[in-house]
Amino acid sequence: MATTTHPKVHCASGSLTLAEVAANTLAGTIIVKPAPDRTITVLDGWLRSPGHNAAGATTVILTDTEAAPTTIVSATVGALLADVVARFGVTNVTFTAPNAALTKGTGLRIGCTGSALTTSHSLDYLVYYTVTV
Amino acid sequence: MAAYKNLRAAYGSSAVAAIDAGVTCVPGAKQRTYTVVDAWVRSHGTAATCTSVDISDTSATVRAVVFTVGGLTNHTTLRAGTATTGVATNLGKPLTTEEGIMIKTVGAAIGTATDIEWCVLYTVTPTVATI
Repeated sequence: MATTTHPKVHCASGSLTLAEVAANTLAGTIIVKPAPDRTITVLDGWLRSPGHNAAGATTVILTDTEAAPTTIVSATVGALLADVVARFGVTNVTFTAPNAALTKGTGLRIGCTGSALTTSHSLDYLVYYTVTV
Repeated sequence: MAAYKNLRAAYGSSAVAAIDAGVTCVPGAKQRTYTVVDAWVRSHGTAATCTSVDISDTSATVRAVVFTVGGLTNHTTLRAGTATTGVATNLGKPLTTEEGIMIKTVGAAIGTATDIEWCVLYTVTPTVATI
């Protein structure tokens, strides 16, 4: 039987403005700071566009903070309907590598592709993750 | 910027009569604010008659999730955010400060079902005291 560890689950939750999602040339805003010698594994989460359907961008993405970032979650903007909780892994919210350890020392960032988000006034998020040393 | 909070979980199974009266999943605490970030319920027996089963603060001021009766079918895990039956407009928003977390029936008493399992994932934020 494979060895299984059960590290404590952390969560990052909050709300980003449209400007924060589109900041840094669409790379977005860091939601979990990088920490040396720490490895993050994203387990689950959701995104929500409060009040209005999201538009403008092609996708909203959760990535690591590497110079050439790895995309962990990619949600097509059409999946971000007003006030709907869009869970990682449902149709049009692609969870590329669930439970895959990221590069040691990297953090998490939420951004977008294509163009800036419009219509919605913010983006709510929740990311479950573990941290291993 | 995000919060970096440890996630907490409350889990239980309550008779429908208790849910009708309101079950405190997590008691309120002085200088603490709870935020429900996720939840699910599972009905034993298909629920009927009631309008919804809600997860809210103990005064029902902030309703984190509204599980409508149509989704409370026998042994189905109904998650917050499920279209129509798991309305979660306030998921991730702070509840009223110093209040607990409650699961309670809205509308008529729950019919047919016997028990409802519930799981609430939440975070705790200290409230800065004022003088």
